[in-house]
Amino acid sequence: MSTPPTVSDTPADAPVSGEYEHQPVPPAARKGSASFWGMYAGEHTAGTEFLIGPLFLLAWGVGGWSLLAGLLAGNLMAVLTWRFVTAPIATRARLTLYAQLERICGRKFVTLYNLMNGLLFCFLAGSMITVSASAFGPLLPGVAMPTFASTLPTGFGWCAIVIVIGAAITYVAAKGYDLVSRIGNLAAPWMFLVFLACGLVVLAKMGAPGVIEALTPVRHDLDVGGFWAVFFFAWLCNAAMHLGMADLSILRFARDERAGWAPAAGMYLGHFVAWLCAALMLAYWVKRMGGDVEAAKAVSLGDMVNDAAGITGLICVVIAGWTTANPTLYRAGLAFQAMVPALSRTQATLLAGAVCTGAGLFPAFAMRLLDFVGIYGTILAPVGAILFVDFWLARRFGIVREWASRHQGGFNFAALLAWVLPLLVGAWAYVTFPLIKAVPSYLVVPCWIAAGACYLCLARLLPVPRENSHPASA
Amino acid sequence: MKSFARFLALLALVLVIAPPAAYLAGMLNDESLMKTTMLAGTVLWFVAAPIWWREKPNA
Repeated sequence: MSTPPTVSDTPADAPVSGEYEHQPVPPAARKGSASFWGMYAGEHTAGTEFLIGPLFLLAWGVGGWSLLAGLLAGNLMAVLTWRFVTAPIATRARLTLYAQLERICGRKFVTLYNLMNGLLFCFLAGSMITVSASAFGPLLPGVAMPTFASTLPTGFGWCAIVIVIGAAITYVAAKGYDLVSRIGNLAAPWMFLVFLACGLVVLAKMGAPGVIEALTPVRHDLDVGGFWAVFFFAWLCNAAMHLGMADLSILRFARDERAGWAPAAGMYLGHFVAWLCAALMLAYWVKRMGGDVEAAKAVSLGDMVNDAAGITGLICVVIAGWTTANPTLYRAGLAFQAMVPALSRTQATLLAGAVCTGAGLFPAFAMRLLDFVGIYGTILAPVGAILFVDFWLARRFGIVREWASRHQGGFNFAALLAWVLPLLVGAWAYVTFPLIKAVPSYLVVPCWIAAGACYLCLARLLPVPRENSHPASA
Repeated sequence: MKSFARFLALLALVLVIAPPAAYLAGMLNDESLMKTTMLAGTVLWFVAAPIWWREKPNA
């Protein structure tokens, strides 16, 4: 790899704001690694973890060894990606993904990226609202709650609960979500222990076998890759953040690259322990139903958690869903606002909230979360490959770095094609191959590599700028 | 005050995780008691931890 560019390459006349959105983070604002460990641990212990664990068993039919080994190896790969792909760029450029994309691809490209990002964020937040709302099932026995088999709204009562929760989350996000963010940080250690408690209790109820023994496959009619499905999902469920470089926004505040190890806290507490404990709950219910998977699928998440941890578990479901839906909704609002600057942030957040709540009404988004997360990563991660090529390989291969910033913000069609072409091939593979349709996470790495390779080739066709057109050289 | 809050907050976390661990180990058989203790730990955590984590106001 060529010598990376340094902060001095950045425009001297960039606007300054408290968040350093368009300027490199100055040394005084940088933080030690310790600041990032707690943040990542909290961020990756979310309401959706309650769904992902059971879905490994129900949707993919994986068993104990595949699950355990796949999670260990996949999460390790995720941590290594953060450490060796994202953190080096974050701590050298010290700019957000948006700022770097604007320099490489132009403002209109960022608007397009924001549209995709905002919509996907809305559906993700909608899943979290679904999870939060499901906790009210045991408290409102007259209301039909969605089960793991549900795809459509289950009735008026369910819709009313989702709309109330969606409206409350939207209101808080529109007003600024500092309080919820504080509650999220406060709840993180407790929430992790509640996940663990659920796992311990159901293990006890199953007669205390080992975790591997307890997680015997509940479905034998599925073969989506076992270990490999779990491995790629665990590695790439946050592909938009590491390979896709969205976490440049966070890691640019790190004093050095070692902060890139911090996501290990989130991966091994949230994406390992919490997923395993949630999977154990489903395994217990299959056993309790005499091995009848369909009967176990008909149990709602709220009933499962209530059975294991009582009211504490239900509070955990609500808080876990709420605290993660809120920042997601807030980001979706910002994305919409960036797209339509005429909207105020409040209006944009209300719009995003309406879309989220609409998505939350349909349990299909939550119950097919494994598919959705894979598609989410496949769509957004390739943008990170364009940034990676621009940052590390451009000079070696004779490509103009930060092309748009040297063309008065012109639109980088090479980047657009590099993003879209692999996605079109990926979409074809998705509809053609049942294995890809079952585990869309298999597409992420091929699309990322293809996008990088495409940009490397197509960027050579871009018009070469005049020597004095770069803002830094002015 | 802060160190007492820290003690209570850590105690709260113990109240959340120790009963399920005891239940798994067979040392506690009353599921209702386990859940009540966890709830007490939860309430205690959300009361004590904010005091423990409260930052000193700037001088």
